[in-house]
This record gives sequence, C-alpha cells and structure tokens, in this order.
Amino acid sequence: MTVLEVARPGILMTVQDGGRWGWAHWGIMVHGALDDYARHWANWLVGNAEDDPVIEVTAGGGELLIREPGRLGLAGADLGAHLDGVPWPPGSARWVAKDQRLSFQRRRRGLRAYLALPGGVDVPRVLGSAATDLTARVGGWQGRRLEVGDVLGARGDGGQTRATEWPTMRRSHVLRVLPGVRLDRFPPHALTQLLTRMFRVSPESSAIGLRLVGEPVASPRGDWPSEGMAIGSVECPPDGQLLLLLKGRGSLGGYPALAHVIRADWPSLGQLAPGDWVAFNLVTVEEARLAWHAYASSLGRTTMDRKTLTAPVDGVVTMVDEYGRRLPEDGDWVGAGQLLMRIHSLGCDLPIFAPSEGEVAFLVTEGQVVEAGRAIIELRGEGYDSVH
Amino acid sequence: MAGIAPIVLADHLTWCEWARLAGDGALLLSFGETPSVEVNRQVHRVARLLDSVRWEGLLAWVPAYTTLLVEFDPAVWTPQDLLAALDQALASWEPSAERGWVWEVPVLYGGSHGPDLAEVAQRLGISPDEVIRLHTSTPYRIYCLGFSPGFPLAGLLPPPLRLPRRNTPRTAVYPGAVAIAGAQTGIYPLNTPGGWHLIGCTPVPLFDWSMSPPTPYQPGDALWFRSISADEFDALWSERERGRLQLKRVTAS
Repeated sequence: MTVLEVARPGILMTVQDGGRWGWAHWGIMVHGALDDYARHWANWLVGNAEDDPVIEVTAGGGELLIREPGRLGLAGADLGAHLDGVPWPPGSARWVAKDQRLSFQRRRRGLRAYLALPGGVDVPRVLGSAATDLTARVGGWQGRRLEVGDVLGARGDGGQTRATEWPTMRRSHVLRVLPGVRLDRFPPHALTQLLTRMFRVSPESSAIGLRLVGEPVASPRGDWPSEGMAIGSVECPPDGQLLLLLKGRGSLGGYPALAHVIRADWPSLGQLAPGDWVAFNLVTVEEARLAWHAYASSLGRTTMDRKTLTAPVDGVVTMVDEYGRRLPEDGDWVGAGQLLMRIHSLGCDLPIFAPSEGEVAFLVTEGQVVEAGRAIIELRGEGYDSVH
Repeated sequence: MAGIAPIVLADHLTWCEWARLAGDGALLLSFGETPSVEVNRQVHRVARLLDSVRWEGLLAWVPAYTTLLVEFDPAVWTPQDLLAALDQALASWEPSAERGWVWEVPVLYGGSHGPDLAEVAQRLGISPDEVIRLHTSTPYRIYCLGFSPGFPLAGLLPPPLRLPRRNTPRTAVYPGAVAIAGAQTGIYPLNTPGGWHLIGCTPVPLFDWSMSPPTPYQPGDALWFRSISADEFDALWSERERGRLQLKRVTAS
C-alpha cells in the first residue's frame, strides 16, 4: 500500500478533493483542487473513484520519499517530476518502490500537479469532504499544508497503472466568459476594456482568487448589499484591478461581477501562474454548453487525433489579434472557433480559427513568410478525420 | 460591446423579481432591490426549500440580503430546468414560519478585546460608553451567514453607529471578535482576515465543525449583545474551558 513521507513540501502541497460543496449557506468555502480536470485524471490513472482525495502540488520544489511501495498517478502541470532522477512526465501511473524519491525540480508548464494514491489519500472527511481549507484551517491533512515529516498513506490497496496520451492539463491564456450578472451596474465601456486588453496574473493570487494586473477597468460607483459570488466571477473593486474568484472564495462579496469564466475553462484558472498573461473572449450560452459537453466527454480518453491546418494564402504570420492581444501559445488548449493566428496578405489579415477544440502547436512563428498550403498549426484533440 | 447585458432567464415570477445567469453554472435570483426584513424572508423561504430537497447536481446556495445565488452542475441541470423545478416545488412549499430566536451574546467591550472601540467612538463623535449603550440597545436580525464560516451578518445598526469599513483589512482577526461596519454588525467565529471595526469580544464558542448546523443561530434569528465585565469574561472563559459554555437564548420575561 502506497505510503509517502514529505521530505520537502516545496512551495505548497495540500490534500484536496472536488471541494466542500453544499454548505455555502453557512459561510463555508468550497476549496478543493483548483484544477478538477487534472485531479480527475490523476484519479483515473490509478483506477480511483473521481472524488478520492489527492495531493495537490503547487509550483513545485518539493520532494516525497516512498516509505511503502505501491501505485502512484501523476497528472496536471509539468513541474519537472523525477523519480530517483529519471523524468516522469504527467499522464501516467507507476509502481513506486520503497526508498525511491519523487521530486518536483522545476516548473515547466502550468502550476499545479496532482498525485493520486490507490483509494485516495487516507484523511478524515469534514462535512463530507477531504478538501483543505487553509483559511478556516480545516479538512485535508490536519487543516494545513503538508510539512516535512508528514506521512500520508493510501486508503486502498492495488489499483491500476494506466497511462494516457491525452493531455491531463488544459491550460489556456484566453478565457471564455459570459456577461456578468451585474454588468448593468458598470459603465458601458467596462466590458469592452475587459475583452480588448491583456492582463497579467499577480503573485498576490491564491486559492481565493487570481488577482489580475493591468490598466484599470472602469468600475461601478455605488454601494450595494453583499451577495453570493459565483466561482469564476470576474469581480471589479473600485481600484479597477480585477479579481477572478476561485474555489476558495468567501461565499459573500460586495464587488459586482463584470463577467463569468465558463466552467470548461475553470481548470485553466488553476494552471495560470504569476506572470502569465490572460485575455478574455465573450461566448454565448450555447457555446458554453457545447464547451462543457466537450470537456466532460474528454475525461478518460487515452488516444488523440492530430489535425494539421495549412495556410490558405501566401502571406506573413501575425500572432496578435485585431486589438493587439497575444494569441494562444504552444501547448495551450483552444476552444472551437477560437482565433489562433492571422495571415497578413494583400493588405488584409486573414484569421485562422480552431475548427474544433484541442491542444495547439505552432509550426511557424511571428513574421514568417508562408506559402499557401504550408502546414502552419497542429491541433491535437478528439475525433478528427485523418487529415494528414 | 454596446447592447450586451446580463442574461435574464425570467422576469417578474410570482416568487422572485428576476433570475439571471451568473455564468454557465449559477443562477442569481433577486427578490427586491432594497434590503428589508420582508425581502430577506423571501430569500430564505427559497433557500430553505433548496436545503430540504438537496437535488442531485445542486452544488451550493447562498442566501444574502436581497438575492439567492444557486450553483449547479451543468451536466445535470440546464438553468431553465432548474428554474422550472424550483417554480414547481415552490408552488406546494409551505415552510414553517421563521423561528426568530433571540440569542444573548455576552461581550467584553474595548481594551485589548475591542481594539477599535476608542477610534470608533472618536470617529463617530460619541463616547465609548455611548457606543456600547447603542450597540446593546436592541436585538439585531441575522440576514445571512457568510464571508467566512458561520459569520452572522446582522443589523441594522442605529444610524449614529454607522462607519465605513476599515481602509486596510486585518490579515487575522481573533475568534469571538464582535465587529461593526456600515449598518451591519457581526461576530468572527474563527480566526480569519477581516475589514470590520473590532469593538469587543465574546467568550462563547460559536462554530463547531462537528455539529450540523455548526452554529447555534440561523438567519432570521437575532443577536442581542450584552456588555460584561472583565471578571465576568474570565468566569465565562473558565466555563468554556470546561466545555460548558454555550450561547443562550433570551427568554421572554
């Protein structure tokens, strides 16, 4: 049965599950994993139930010592995991032997990785959940972050040793939003500012929310009674610096919501790191529904299809949109219909949109001259007809 | 982006003023524009229905002064279906009347137990004793619980006691801190960050993770603060350490 000892906790390690849902009317925060997609995958890799408690490793730097052998699943961000010095990329489960060391050496992509032990980490439940709430100091491992010498065991024996080539993290710098429930309280240009500018994730961010740094957004003037704030809400305090609420947010808030990140993009919120850029695109309710459906159906897939997009005309590659905002980066998860690139030709900018959702890889760079028919983008995802 | 507005699902239902989408997994229901006891009762009537049915895919509900936020799993519910289910369930939902219990909260005001009392009095232009007299003069209705676990948002304070919240919130507030902000008063049950003015402290434990519900009070109840001496505080504290101290109800005299 897998047993781990914390040799170095790194920046932050906690025990989390899907969250302490159902008690917000008592003022209890949800918390739980900040990337539920990666958390699901970690559990899937060892054959767990989807809500079994996992270890959330934030930003890396930590090391775990295997005290008792067993299975271990790793999903989510690439934090430079090494088992006894040998790289272990996320997306697979392994049998780990006594005295082996699992270290997270350097953050490469994303922010949070998830470790699953067969049957889940053995911790008591508080109000039905194993989620760690660091604000209220409850749940998870003694209501706190993991520290040197903590010994965590699996609840179950056995388990599976699965792997997937499907990405176990879907990070996007471009977040899809629906109009805010209190949009009518804002000056009319506030939403335009949100949708045409870029923001940066501040180091002041936490499980409560992502603080975004940027030119101030026009904020509403007025004083309204506190009310429930949905997770994913983009709040705008009087100083115009946005706060994007995560699962650790207090149930009540006083700042009005300008927009709401759709649920299919919540996993991305847990993977955006301080310093990362962020942009917002408005979608319709129907687009949000389709995105959620695609999200839900991708869990448990093991293989991916590849699709190559080619340049429709001769031209020059442009990697910014009409507002001067950056377009997705290599390895980003993109939604169907998302703008990926523009090709400047004969005085026009021809937009290249994602035909369906998937992980994007760019085969050309900004400013490069391409001829019609040249492969420019590779998209990895589900159910593509074999284009290449 | 002119012409883009909040997504309204329903307007002028018999039981709520409007329902809007707060993203693809949440509904915000409004029961009136201005806080009042009557509007707040409507909020809790629906919240209590949700608490009693606990439908699958219903993730959370947050009753506040005038609104109710409902978070749901979009794999289980469309917002339209959820609203229709609510509409139907409410047609035959007859909750018992609010119990309206009044809780007596013993408070040691000022000093290290209420570090902001002197400044609050100075800014309000009244004496600390007058702040205490006004704060203890009447019971305050609990409109909702929130911010942090078990925090009761109660009011409304008499106008001479109303101050905007602190410019810089404290990163940690001691448990039991009795606080005011605007027309509201409340108690910090746990050690959490907070931006309200701390005027006193109650020795009574208010939140117990092993209890369901974890607080003795609920929305619709009222808090009636009573000023106690340092000696009385110490006596109550030793009772607390013996595990015997609980919040007591004010009994009709």
